[in-house]
Amino acid sequence: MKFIFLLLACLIFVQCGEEIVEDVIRPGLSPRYTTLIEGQNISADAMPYDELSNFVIYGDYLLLLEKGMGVHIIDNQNPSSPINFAFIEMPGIIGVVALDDSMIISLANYLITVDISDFMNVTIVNILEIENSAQGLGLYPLDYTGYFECVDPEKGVVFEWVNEELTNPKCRTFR
Amino acid sequence: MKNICYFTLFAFLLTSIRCTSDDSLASTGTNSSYSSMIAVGNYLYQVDPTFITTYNVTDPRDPVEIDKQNLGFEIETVYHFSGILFVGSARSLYIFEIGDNGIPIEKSETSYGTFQAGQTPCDPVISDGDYAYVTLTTTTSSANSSCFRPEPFNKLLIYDVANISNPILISEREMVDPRGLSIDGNFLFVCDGINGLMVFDKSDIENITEIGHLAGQTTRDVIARDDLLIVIGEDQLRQYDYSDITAIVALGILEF
Repeated sequence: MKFIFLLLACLIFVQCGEEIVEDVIRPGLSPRYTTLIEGQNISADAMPYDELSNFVIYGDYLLLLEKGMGVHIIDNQNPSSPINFAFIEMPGIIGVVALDDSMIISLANYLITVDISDFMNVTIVNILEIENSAQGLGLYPLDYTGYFECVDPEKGVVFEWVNEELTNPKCRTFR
Repeated sequence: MKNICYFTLFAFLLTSIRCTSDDSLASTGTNSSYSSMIAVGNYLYQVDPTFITTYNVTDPRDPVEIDKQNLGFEIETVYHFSGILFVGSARSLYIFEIGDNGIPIEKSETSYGTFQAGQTPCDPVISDGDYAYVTLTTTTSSANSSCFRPEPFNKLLIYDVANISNPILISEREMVDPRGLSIDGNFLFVCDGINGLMVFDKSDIENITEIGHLAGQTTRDVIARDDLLIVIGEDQLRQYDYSDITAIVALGILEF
């Protein structure tokens, strides 16, 4: 009798133990989504910059591209005393050109036109989705082996992957 | 009647001048050498790691894709000079001629040589029409960068591109950490990363001579134009007056 009771107790213990599922934390990559829309105002106050990539001379202004972040607008009428004037927020930005009163930006698999006639009121006027672009980061991180957070297309288009501690990651790439 | 004729002639001349300019729109921005997009007249050329894509941007608010060509791997930068596009990649220099319809026609692909396995230096390329100037670097502050390689390869390469179908390597120069570059007349300005900015006299193209070194800053990209030298580092903007190339004067610094 004692033996049967002990056996039952052990079984219950084991079952209970199976129900306690601990989270598994693994290092991996997490996607960042862009959710830009036409008509959106993306002007911001001047920001510090720390990873400039390239730049454009645009009349008396300099457009400094901080890759993945946006464009710093510098008033360069007096090169001896340039003024960090404004910032255009564009997470995931890769490239930029200026044409007339417009700036065309490449970002993931989009080409985005913004109106820059007023740097304090920069608005998205067109979003063109590029088909078959190598910049569209798709459903998994390229050139990477390991765990990553699965992509949810309903959240937007992935423009970058960042290192993060992932909880119970369900997606993984293998070499 | 005579006045009308003169006016018509004047208007025609004005139009002609605009059409022969490299950047035909006065308000088109000037891109530095690390750009992945460039506007030429009514066309926009964009490179991504695999493709070069052409858009008609007659209306910049409604770009229309008109061409896409698969180039291969690790395509990085695009530069324009007088109807010719120079595309830099980790492996090769590509040269295109822009056709009448705006679509680039590939004229050559010149390999930078055989690197060790996994050795793919990063680069931009610029040109003055006669020569193409390429920097290749494996030095990087970020181990996550695709440029990071254990074996260093840091050089300035100069190609004779008089025949764009057959570029010829005519000069190689060891650098510390070469990055963006710019040309004005006989002067070549090269960002050398942690080594600052180098200034060369390129009048003897096969033996370019160092004539200036702006040390004490980390440099990434540069444009030299109208005696104003604009240099960016990762976290700063510096400008110089080079009207006297032997005595370059620092103007403003903007940093954080």
